[in-house]
Amino acid sequence: MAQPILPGNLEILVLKALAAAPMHGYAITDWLEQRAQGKLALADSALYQALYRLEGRRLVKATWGVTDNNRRAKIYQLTEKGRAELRTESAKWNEYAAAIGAILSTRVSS
Amino acid sequence: MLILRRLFRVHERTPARRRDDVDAEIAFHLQARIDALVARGWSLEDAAAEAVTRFGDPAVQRTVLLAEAEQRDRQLDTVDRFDSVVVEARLALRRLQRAPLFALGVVATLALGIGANATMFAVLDRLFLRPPPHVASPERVYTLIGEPRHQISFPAFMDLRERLAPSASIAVQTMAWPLPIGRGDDGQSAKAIFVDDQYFRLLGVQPVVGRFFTADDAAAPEVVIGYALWQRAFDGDPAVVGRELLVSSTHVRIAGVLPDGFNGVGDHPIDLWIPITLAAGLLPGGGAAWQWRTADNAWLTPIVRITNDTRAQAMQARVTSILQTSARERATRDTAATAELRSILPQRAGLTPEARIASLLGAVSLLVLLIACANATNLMLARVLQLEREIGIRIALGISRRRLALGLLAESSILAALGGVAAVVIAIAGTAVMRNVLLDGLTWAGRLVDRRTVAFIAIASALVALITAIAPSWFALRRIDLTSLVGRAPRGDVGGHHHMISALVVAQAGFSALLLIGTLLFVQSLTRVRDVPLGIDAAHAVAVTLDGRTLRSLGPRANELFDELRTSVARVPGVESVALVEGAPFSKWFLATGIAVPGRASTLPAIAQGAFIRAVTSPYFTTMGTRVIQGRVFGNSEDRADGELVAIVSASIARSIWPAGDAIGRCIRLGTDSMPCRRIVGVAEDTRESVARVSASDDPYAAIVYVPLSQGRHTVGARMLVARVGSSANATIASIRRAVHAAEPTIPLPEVWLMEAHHDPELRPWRIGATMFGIFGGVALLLSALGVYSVIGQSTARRARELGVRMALGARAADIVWLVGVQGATLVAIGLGIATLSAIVLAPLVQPLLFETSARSPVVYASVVAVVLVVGVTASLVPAVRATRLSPISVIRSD
Repeated sequence: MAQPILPGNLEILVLKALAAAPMHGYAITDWLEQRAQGKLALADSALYQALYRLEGRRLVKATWGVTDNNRRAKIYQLTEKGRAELRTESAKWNEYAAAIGAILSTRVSS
Repeated sequence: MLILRRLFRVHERTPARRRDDVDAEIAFHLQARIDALVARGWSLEDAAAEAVTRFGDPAVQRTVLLAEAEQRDRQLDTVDRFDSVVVEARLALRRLQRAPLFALGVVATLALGIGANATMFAVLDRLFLRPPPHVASPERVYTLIGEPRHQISFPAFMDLRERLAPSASIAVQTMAWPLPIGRGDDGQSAKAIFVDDQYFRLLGVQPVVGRFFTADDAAAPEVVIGYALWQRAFDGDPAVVGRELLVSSTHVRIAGVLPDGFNGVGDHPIDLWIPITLAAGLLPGGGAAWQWRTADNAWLTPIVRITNDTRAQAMQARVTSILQTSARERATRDTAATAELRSILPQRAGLTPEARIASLLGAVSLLVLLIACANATNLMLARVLQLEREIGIRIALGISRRRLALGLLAESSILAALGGVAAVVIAIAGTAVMRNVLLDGLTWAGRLVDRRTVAFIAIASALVALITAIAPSWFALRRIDLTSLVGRAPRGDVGGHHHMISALVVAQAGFSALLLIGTLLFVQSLTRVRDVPLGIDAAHAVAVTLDGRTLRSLGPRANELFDELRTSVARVPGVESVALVEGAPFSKWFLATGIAVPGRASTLPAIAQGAFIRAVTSPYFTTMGTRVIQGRVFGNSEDRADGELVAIVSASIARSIWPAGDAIGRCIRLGTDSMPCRRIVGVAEDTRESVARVSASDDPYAAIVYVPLSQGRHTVGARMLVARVGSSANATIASIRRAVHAAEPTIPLPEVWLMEAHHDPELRPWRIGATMFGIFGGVALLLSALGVYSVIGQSTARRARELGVRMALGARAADIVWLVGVQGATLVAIGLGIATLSAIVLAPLVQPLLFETSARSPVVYASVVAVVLVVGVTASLVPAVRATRLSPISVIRSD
């Protein structure tokens, strides 16, 4: 069963995707779905909301470009600020996950 | 590069654009999903259905995304706006760094303009906008001015106090008198006023140390001292309370000290507040016999505080009626007197001459600021022209015109801000000058350039930034377009710009001409005022006055004392002659007398009005520099006490009583018909102590009868010594002071003063006018000359090609100079025409401030026109001559 992604968590995933290369919205969906291997449920429109929010905060910026098969698409790109945000947010995430993981992996005699 | 990219990005975040974007993005997403699914072997139909399922209902999601996009755009707009300000400011700063001379020119111009205004603001603020310090609710406090006699008597005051309660409380004060305090080397002069015990409570002031005196202090007299005297004479020692102080020859105790800056309801410094019950003993004209409590003696100024719900108008009517009733009851002559309640708030009271001059100067400084703004605008316009290509490029790159205007505003803001900072420095220097020139004698607690002045400078700078940005922005937005990029032919024909700059030059020339006209009018007034004959050589006549109480206490020994003084002063080097006088000019003493002349009706105005007695010893007339125009002066031998009674009359008396010019030898009686005859032995020229009373024939103070002191009334309290001194008056005065102290160490220090010192303050309004108008007018003329110079310079630079062609075709240097020079002269001439018309229209405003000078004096107007024209033409000839040095070939090639 695929887990829904909380809105706040989606944004860091989008930043991660864009860290690889500038891409359009659908490519980001595709990139995330491949890596989630069906374990995370991604609502397409939620992705765009996340993108707009990131754009508003100047973490990404968008320009209209042309895809390989010659279609006009909005291409998103990480800004310097976005890259920094990705670094600090992933560090936080890893720390958080490690802490939760450590607690959950202790043995409790019952 | 980031800056450039950001700068030139096109921001168009319109709703329509947003809708298109979102729709296109959704469509693209769905299409991409379908393509991917189809590529994986789905049927087109299934793929389409799946894409919509994954995306959600497109109609619903579209609304959600649009809302999100709108919020995003709002966020971006805010940041952009801030960014663009920062970016434009940074660009402006960089542009200014590249043009330091231009920046310096504008900053200096604006600093002068703003600084002049800040100076005047600081002064006007003090004169008009601040109530007397330390007075509680000053808006309800009034001074009572009577008409025709300004002061009222003590009984009238007591009637007022009794009958005004409870809707008003009332206290009383006298005018300020200089009184000697201390003795010998520690002695000094202090300005004292006499007040009643209610005075401090009415004003609501609190002492900084000690307390105030009360009604039951009569047995042990106490005084309150001012903060300045406390600091000056007691080093601010709090233990001063209870200490003994010698005022005149009376010992009093110090009860308390008033706060810094407190001067009662006025703005002239006061050192000493003395209970009015002591006035009789301390006042120079007083004495035990002086009836200060009688209804005839009007010498008090009441201060009235009205309650919250009382109207000043109604109170004024009530005060008038009480005073008239009181006069009838006490049978004085004030039964028709009226009273005016004058607010102690400077903005509600009438204008003093200083205040009137200061307001005029305020208006003048505004003119200077306008000239400065015109000049700055001018320079900025010229720069816009230089930056034409850069601006054109930015327009071509799609930068919004609003953004361009923002850039120019950033530039003018930086310049105005720097100008404002420099203006603070100018204002500090300017107020120091004003303090000495204009407001000498007024008290100023604290610095003149305070927070209010700095706030004024900030606001003025902001306004200046806006004003100077308007014209260049307008020009940049309207006149520059893409054609600027390719250059236009013929170059330099930029109509709108040229007209605007020309208008500015016209305005500048006009403004500075106006100011110069003002300068000359005041200079002429000052000269005329100085030329008024006083009949007294006040610049060389020194008075030595003793404290009245000391004189009275000496009794018959006073004659001895004066003789000793006369001898010791006469020995002082620099003293040319010495005489004694009772009722001297510039003193407080007018010894009035009735006169009677055999064979002349007592109803003759000159006789009915009476005269003033001046009892003098020889050589009074040469000492004072008063000419005896007919007959002889008094001699020592013949005009003794037991000799024939003689008199010298002033020309004004001689003229009105004996119009035929035969006054010599006639008889005049001082007092009534029954008095003995005095034979007139001489006629002295008229003297006057005030230029305000210019025409001597109307001046009752010019009716003077001189008698030998030995034959006079011996009013010792009014006696003083006068000395004629040579050129270095001040040094001689100091020597006289030392000599008197050495000769008479036991008496309180006499006052020694140059008679001119009493005449001088009268000339102040005109001196201030001449000085300040002169400074402002000079600055204005300089700024205008720079303005004309830069405009003609720019215009010549723009016309370089045209001029080059002309020269190539054989124009001579003189032709070129003429061509360029005429341009400048025309603009200046137009400005002068407007200025002259304005001056004629504005003349009635200035007329009351002038002395025997017409505000429409053709001579003044003509001289100013000539000066400004010469300066203007010279300023335009410099670039004109430079233009002739152009090499025609290189100029034409450069295109």
